[in-house]
Amino acid sequence: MIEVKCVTKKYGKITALNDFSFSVKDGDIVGFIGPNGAGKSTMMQIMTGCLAPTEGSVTINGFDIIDEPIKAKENIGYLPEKPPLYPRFTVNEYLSTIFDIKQIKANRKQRISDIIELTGLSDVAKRRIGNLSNGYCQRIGLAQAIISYPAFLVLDEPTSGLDPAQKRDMLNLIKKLSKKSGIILSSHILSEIDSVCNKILMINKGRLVSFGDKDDILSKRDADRQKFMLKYVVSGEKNEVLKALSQLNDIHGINAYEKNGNTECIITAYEDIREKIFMCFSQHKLPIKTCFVMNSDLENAFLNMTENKESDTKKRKK
Amino acid sequence: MKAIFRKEIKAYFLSIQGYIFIGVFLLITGYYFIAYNLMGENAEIGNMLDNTIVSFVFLIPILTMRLFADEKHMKTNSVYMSAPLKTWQIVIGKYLAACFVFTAAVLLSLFSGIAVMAEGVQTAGELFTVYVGYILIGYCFISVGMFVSAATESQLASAIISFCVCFMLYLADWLKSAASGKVFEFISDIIGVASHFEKFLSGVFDVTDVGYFLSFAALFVTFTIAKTESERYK
Repeated sequence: MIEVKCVTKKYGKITALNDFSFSVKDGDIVGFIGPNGAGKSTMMQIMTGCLAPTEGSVTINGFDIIDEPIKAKENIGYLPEKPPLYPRFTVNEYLSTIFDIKQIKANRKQRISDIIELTGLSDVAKRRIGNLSNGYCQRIGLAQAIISYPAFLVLDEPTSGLDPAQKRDMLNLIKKLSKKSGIILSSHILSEIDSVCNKILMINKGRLVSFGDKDDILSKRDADRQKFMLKYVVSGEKNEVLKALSQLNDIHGINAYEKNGNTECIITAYEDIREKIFMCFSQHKLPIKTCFVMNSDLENAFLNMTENKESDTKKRKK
Repeated sequence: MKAIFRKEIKAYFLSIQGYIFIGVFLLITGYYFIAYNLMGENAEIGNMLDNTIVSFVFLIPILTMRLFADEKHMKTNSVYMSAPLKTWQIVIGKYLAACFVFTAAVLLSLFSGIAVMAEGVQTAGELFTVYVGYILIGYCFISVGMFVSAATESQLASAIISFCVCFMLYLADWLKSAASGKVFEFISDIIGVASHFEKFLSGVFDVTDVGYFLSFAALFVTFTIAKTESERYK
């Protein structure tokens, strides 16, 4: 278990993290989300021992990261935002070096071979890292994080810079790894967090906004706030579309405009009314050309919670 | 510590730095040997080496500039900061790697000393003493360069600042002759690294001078450990 207790980090007068507390158990995949500059990377660096907290403590499986750093760090694997790679080393040489640095007590050849296979690096094992693509570099970064089979993995934006296929592969690999290790993973892409994580940790301006099971967090949304934003492109005139939609009671708001002979409308509603909208347009013989959900549940929850906290703070200041 | 040492040695010889250092060092010592000993018909190898100490001022920063500054710049320092390693293991591993490359360069230049010894001009004991003193001076400059590298985030800044500091250490001996007064003499004795090489030139293995060199190097290694550890608390 990773236990973060009342962690505060100050850089001079600037408070990067303020009284942060949470815990991560074995088997959890925690999605760490927050706006840019919120303090995610700082928190991850503190958890992995790269930075020391100004106040508070971090313990990993009972070992304090400052007082017993060696024992604590044996339980952690860290992939920073920019993978720490040595461009002139080959993949094999690099992983061998990391094997030595982490003082892993296992058969070197077997372990490196297993990790290379697990992370899909077999084709490039003998190539220099500096000659490899971004996707491979991220995988090598992940390989160095998992090579000691740590109890916990801390991954800072592991899909950054990857194409969609590579992102999919990386996320599948992370799901596989979650069977052996607890994972804390940060990303700006909420759909990735949504698909992989079972717990969410939200941060904003250095403060913990929310932490818990994903479903609990999603159910905590303010009922007055909009849940769905749906975009439709419908073949028909604006007036016809608006007339059809006026029969639905569940719509909170509509924003419609004509474009290239079609009507584009953004519909906001409290619930998922896609089925009702489909039936309505079908009834009025208005073909739907495009339909998609503009905000996911998690995105809404994130925006609601971070904006809520901001407006609450502003109200208190007034 | 062994892992850090091996990694740094590999890094020196996978990049051009290790080769540049050894190549330029051999060029300078070779030139001085030819000019001073062969053409100048001077049998004292120690004086030749004494003249080459000035080359440490600009060569050793090449060796030390990437030790910490480059890792911070490339953000690869998280490898050892998040590894189950103590800070002193990291620093000493890197220091020993730089010392190893320097020592290898000096040993490769040993041909000049062996040539002089073969002519029966200097004994093996005198040669050993001179080279030990020479190597220890190099270790002192390396410790300073490493500390400067730990204090900066740019290889270029590290090289320039190291050059300036090493130059000051080299010039410190001239303080004694240039300025009178006990204060200048005291400062010159403390920081004038090259002055502690004089007895080695005469073949005298003075333990106090060896102690001075080792203490000087240990001091800056300690500063480096403190600086590296303080990076966590910034």
